[in-house]
Amino acid sequence: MKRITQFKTRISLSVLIVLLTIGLSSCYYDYGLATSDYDAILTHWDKNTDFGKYKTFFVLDTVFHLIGENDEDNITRKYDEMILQSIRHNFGAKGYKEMALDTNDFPNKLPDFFVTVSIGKSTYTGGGWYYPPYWGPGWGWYPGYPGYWPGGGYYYNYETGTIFVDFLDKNDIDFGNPDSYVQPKWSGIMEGLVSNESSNSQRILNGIDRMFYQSPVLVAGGETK
Amino acid sequence: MRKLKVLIIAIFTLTATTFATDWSTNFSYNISFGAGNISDYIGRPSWLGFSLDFKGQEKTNLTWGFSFAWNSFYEKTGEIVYFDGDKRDGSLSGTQLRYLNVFPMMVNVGYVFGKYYSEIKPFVSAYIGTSYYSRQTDIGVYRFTNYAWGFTVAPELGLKIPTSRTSNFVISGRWYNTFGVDDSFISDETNRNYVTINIGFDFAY
Repeated sequence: MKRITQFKTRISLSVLIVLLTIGLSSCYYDYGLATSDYDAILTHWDKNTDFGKYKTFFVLDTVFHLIGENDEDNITRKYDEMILQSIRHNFGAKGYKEMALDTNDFPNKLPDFFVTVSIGKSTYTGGGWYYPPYWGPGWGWYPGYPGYWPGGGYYYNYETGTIFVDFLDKNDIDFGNPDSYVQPKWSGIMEGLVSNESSNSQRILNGIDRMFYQSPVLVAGGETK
Repeated sequence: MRKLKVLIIAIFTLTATTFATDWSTNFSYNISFGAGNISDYIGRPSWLGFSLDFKGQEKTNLTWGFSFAWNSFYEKTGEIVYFDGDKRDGSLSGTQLRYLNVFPMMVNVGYVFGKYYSEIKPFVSAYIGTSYYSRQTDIGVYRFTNYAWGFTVAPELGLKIPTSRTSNFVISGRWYNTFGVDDSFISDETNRNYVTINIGFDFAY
């Protein structure tokens, strides 16, 4: 009888240890992330393009706002000029020369490539009551912010802003058909959380710099700068 | 009738063997060190993990049983990820939170050197089974996950230091080798390796 009691106690102890450990497993280190930690920069380029053959560029002076047909444009234009300046500076630092567009001689005298800038906003809202809120493979990209409360419910509601910078070869553009689609030779995309923080300008500038830093193919005439 | 006799003898033999076996449970805290492509993905050692082994020991010092473990690697990094596509190459950067949780589930055989409960006993074990690999990578507001199973073998060397007639302090090193883990985000290679240092106690029933 004593042996059975002893056996039961040890089994109970083992089960308790397992449960405690599983409970502790939810205790990941809290990294204390700042808003800027949610900034992500993606670049992609045509792998068969020699970016060294391009010499001159022109940045369109309008930032396109990506909104639905009937939606109100509530994207601020506060950062437009700063973004365009930063992009001009970065292409220049890669060895490309900015060229003014001569409207009197259009389209006979064109830069080698055009740069367009677009901005979009997305709102993510959701919630649930399960743990952990994993999003399985096949669902594509899904937000993981702002996290979860282990064993309970979670809720999120946040807005992201995305800046698209596209590098368009002049030979791919059909100037007679403004609605034609052009596959960019290179694209830089920055996405981050929209906030009212004073650090927004710096986050945008850092993000644009990183687009160029992580694009080793963007070198004019084979020069490394 | 002959079959019935064989069955009865088999049941009695099995029952006698079971009662002749000394059972113990080992619970250990694990510190894990990734090797190869695990180390490339998460260089930081894991301080989060445990293993639970149920072992039966015969009078011949031979042990056998089954084992579960959980080893959790995680790291924050700002590393740029470059990727190759069919037509387009690219890169991705941002603060990344990388998590890799491994759940090995295996059977084991081993041998304990030593005869008396009061002496320090070295032991060797071999584990074979499967491991579940759960990988999560958070970049920006995006989360990439992958779940995969692999075939695992793991040799182990250790020492049992008696603390009472029915319990031992146990320290061991186990080398996990898993094959067939499909997760190209970490590596196109499908083998995964890591070593754990296990510190814990075993309790005999």
